Amino acid sequence: MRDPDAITKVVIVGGGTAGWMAAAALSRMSGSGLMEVTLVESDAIGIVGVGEATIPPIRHFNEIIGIDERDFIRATQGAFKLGIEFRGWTRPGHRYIHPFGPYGADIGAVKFHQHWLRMRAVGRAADIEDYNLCAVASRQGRFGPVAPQARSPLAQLHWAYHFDASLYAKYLRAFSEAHGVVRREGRITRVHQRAEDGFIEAVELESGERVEGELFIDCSGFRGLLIEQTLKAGYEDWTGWLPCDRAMAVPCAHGAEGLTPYTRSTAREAGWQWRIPLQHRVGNGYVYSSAHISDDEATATLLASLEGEAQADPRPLRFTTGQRKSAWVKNCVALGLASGFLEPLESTSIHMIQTGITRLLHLFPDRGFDARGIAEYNRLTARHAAQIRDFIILHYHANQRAGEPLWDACRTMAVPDSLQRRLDLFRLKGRISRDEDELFAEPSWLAVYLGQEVVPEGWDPIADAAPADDIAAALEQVRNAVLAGTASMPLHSDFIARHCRAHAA
Amino acid sequence: MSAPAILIAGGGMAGWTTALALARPFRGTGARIAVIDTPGPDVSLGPLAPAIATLPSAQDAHWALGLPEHRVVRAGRGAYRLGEFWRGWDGREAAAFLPFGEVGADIGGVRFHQQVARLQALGETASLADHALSSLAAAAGRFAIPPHDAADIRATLDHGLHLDAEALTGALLRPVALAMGVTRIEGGIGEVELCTDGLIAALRLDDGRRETADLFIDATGPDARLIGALEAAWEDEAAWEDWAALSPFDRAAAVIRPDTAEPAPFTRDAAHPWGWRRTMPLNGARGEIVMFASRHMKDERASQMMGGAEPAAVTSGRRLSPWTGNCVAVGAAAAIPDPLASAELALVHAAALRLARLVPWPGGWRAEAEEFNRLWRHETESARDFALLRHLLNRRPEKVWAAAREASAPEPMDRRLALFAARGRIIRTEHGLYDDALWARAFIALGARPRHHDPLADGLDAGMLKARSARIRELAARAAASMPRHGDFLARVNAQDGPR
Ligand SMILES: Cc1cc2nc3c(=O)[nH]c(=O)nc-3n(C[C@H](O)[C@H](O)[C@H](O)COP(=O)(O)OP(=O)(O)OC[C@H]3O[C@@H](n4cnc5c(N)ncnc54)[C@H](O)[C@@H]3O)c2cc1C
Repeated sequence: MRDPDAITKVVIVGGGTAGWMAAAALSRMSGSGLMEVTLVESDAIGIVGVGEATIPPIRHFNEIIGIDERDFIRATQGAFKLGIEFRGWTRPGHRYIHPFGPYGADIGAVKFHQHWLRMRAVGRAADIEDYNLCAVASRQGRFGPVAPQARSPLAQLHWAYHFDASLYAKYLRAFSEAHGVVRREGRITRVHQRAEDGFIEAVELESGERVEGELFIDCSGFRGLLIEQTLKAGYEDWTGWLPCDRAMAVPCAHGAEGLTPYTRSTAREAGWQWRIPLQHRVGNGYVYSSAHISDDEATATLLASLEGEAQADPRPLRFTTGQRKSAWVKNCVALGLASGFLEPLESTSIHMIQTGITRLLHLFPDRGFDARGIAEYNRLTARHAAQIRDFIILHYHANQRAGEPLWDACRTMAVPDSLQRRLDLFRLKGRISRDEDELFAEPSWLAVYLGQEVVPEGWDPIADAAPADDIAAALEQVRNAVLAGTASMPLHSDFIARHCRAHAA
Repeated sequence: MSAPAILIAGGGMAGWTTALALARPFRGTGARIAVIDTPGPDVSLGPLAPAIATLPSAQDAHWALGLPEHRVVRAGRGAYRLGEFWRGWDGREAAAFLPFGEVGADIGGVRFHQQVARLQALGETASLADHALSSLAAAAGRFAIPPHDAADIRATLDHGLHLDAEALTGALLRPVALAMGVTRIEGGIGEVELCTDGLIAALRLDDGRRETADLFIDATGPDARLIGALEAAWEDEAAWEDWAALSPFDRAAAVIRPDTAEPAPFTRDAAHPWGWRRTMPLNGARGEIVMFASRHMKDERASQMMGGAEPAAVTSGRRLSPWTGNCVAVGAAAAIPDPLASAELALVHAAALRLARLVPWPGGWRAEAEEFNRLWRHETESARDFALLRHLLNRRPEKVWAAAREASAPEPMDRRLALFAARGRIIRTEHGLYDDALWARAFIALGARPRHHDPLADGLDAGMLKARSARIRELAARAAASMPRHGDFLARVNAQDGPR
């Protein structure tokens, strides 16, 4: 029995990472003949394509659509990532790692870090990073399975990828087309709306061709061709908290440092700079606030700091941090840059595309487009974005870079209530408030609180229950398990060379 | 570091559970944890909770409290429950089973209940519950604890408990807490002494003794002696939110009666023209609750039905901020959920275990209280709505039931209803007591039929779905037949000092 209300025609506008991820996810439906999925993209307009660093849930996305990991790494010049190193964020010269995965393990009702706080106060704890496998492996440049004799629940590897985003889009395109997604090339010059209710009926290409659909997925990038230019969703501006509004991006040749298994973010006077090592090159970019530095100065700073020869002209990007007031309006759902922008400090943009797709599949509409399903989608999307926003603001807010206008402003600004409440709770006894389904789990908040030196006044009183010697021994056990685990792992560069060297590196 | 003094007012199940939750982690810190063990019957979970039904999450909570489940079952005259039989809500006396545990498996984001709905659209007759081992085992009066081997279909089982609250408190909660170093103070609660800033300074016992503490726990039941005394100083913050308008049933009674029949491994809920009745088998007894509309049944009639138990007015509701100042309310002092939510103990467990990780001492309390109350609101909201579902979706002909149907569904319930009605979708609710799958089963058990199933289910191969469905049912039927009878299982639990 076919459902008479079922959507049978989906049009995806845009062929960047967002568009092709959506296409790949919907290709199961096109593949089984239930739905036509058409993707329109314009070669003339092109894609942003600078999204190169990811977080672990992307593995889940790849798994669901059936991508083989090593094949994928080879095809995208990819490499592995165990976390992010933050240099100079707390103050110049300081550095810490926000690693994937947990620190140690809770003991009874007591969180591991509470024991650590207590032991640290009496000088009996090592650096917090020593208790996290991904952090230590990052420092040692290692990636790969922990050897069987060194495996331990205290030493679990969590990872994500660095990859060339345009190659990823190509990879997803081949996958989607093989499963029945139809691609149309051409620039959209007109959008046709239904007279009675403003629903989108069709997009019209420069050639005059009309592409009709029942559901439109707007992946047209910053411009938000459908969601904003046509449907006027409105935009919530977050630049009051996150003032960076430009980026200069440039790839360069590998220098001496090589293929580190982590992303680096280095704080600069007017923003920060990323370093993303791929197999064939290193991606770099300076994310900055145009109120605090000129484009020329930013470019000069960026070029002066490259570890190898630049491989292209620096590419400028402009953005306004914030989110569409509604990511879903009428019969149009916006994904990717069309739905909003949060700077790539925690590599979350591709993940937000992924969660948007998952949410859309869970709430997939029929031709009635029930308002409550749409409201639910928008509620969850807004909540998710605000949680990530708060986490990013924390990095900027908890800084000690006195005397630099951007950093002074961020340190003294009023943060959102939702973040203030978390900070208050942590500052007292190191307690971490967390929402269910939240992307960044307790260890992530802990890494950034401690890394940014938000130091609790005390610790949870129940951490005082066990004898100090026992706790010191338990901490030592974790540290040793992590050391043994990492020592047994191959070097990241060796792992890549052996298992997933790119086809034409 | 020196350690906090925590005074728990009220020695019922809520008070002693909280004492245990605090005593274990604070053991060895020098903290003073004392319970004022008030005389009289235990109303700390409300007037309708001489016997309670727990949710599967109670297993984890008992583990965290250091209480092996078999000891809980033994001390609480307990029996296991694999789910709930619901009869009469559809107005046709048809019975439906709400199974706990896992049923089937999602395929790439397509929920199992959507797969079954697709199969039904193709003409298959098997229901969702037909695929649930809990459901088949319950119907056959059988029970088992799930094995660790995830490949075994019995690993999909899950259970709650039926418990005699006073028996459990007396035989297990209190003695274990005392052994952990909790101090017991016998006496009634007199006056609550407030400071000018609205904090509690001390409690007077009725014999004049004065007890001070850093943190006061109100486990005094519906009287809410401590938090109630704060209402004037804190106004809205501490006030009670009344849920009476959500239900036309205004009277209720509860009782535990002897019963020597083999206990069924499930809760039985039956809707009647005047209201509903819940039966909770215990070991050698059964707990019963009736809730009814006073316009449709006289108290005398209800009392007869309940072996003489006296009905009283229903008082369900909650406090939005059970943690106010240096006082934290738990149990019925903080919320009285509708018994159909089976949430009394889950709310106490969640509050007590969370409190143990948020004791603010030394120092302020605002950040901790805000965190505590924020999660509490989600939990109580889910309990309110889970019970409300049976009111809103009933299809009985009587006026009172029509009124129950017409109660306005609060946020996010109306969204929940609309999304299920359209495509059988379940909305995510944060920090709720019931998982998505259980919500879906509750809708289906009440006979709610979405206009159409999830279109993504149409993308799955029908032959594959049919084969999987048949295989699950076959495995479940075979496993159910091999499980011990619930009565035999209980006899073994009660006979020896071990789970088997
Ligand atoms: C400086 C910077 C750094 C970033 N770093 C990261 C990172 O490390 N990790 C991460 O996860 N994300 C990162 N991102 C985000 C990431 O780049 C994007 O999320 C990702 O590229 C998705 O882009 P998109 O597909 O939404 O849009 P785009 O790539 O802009 O694609 C837009 C598509 O729409 C089409 N289109 C537009 N208008 C028309 C039209 N009129 N007719 C036809 N077609 C049209 C274009 O042809 C194109 O195919 C970064 C972003 C920026 C700006």
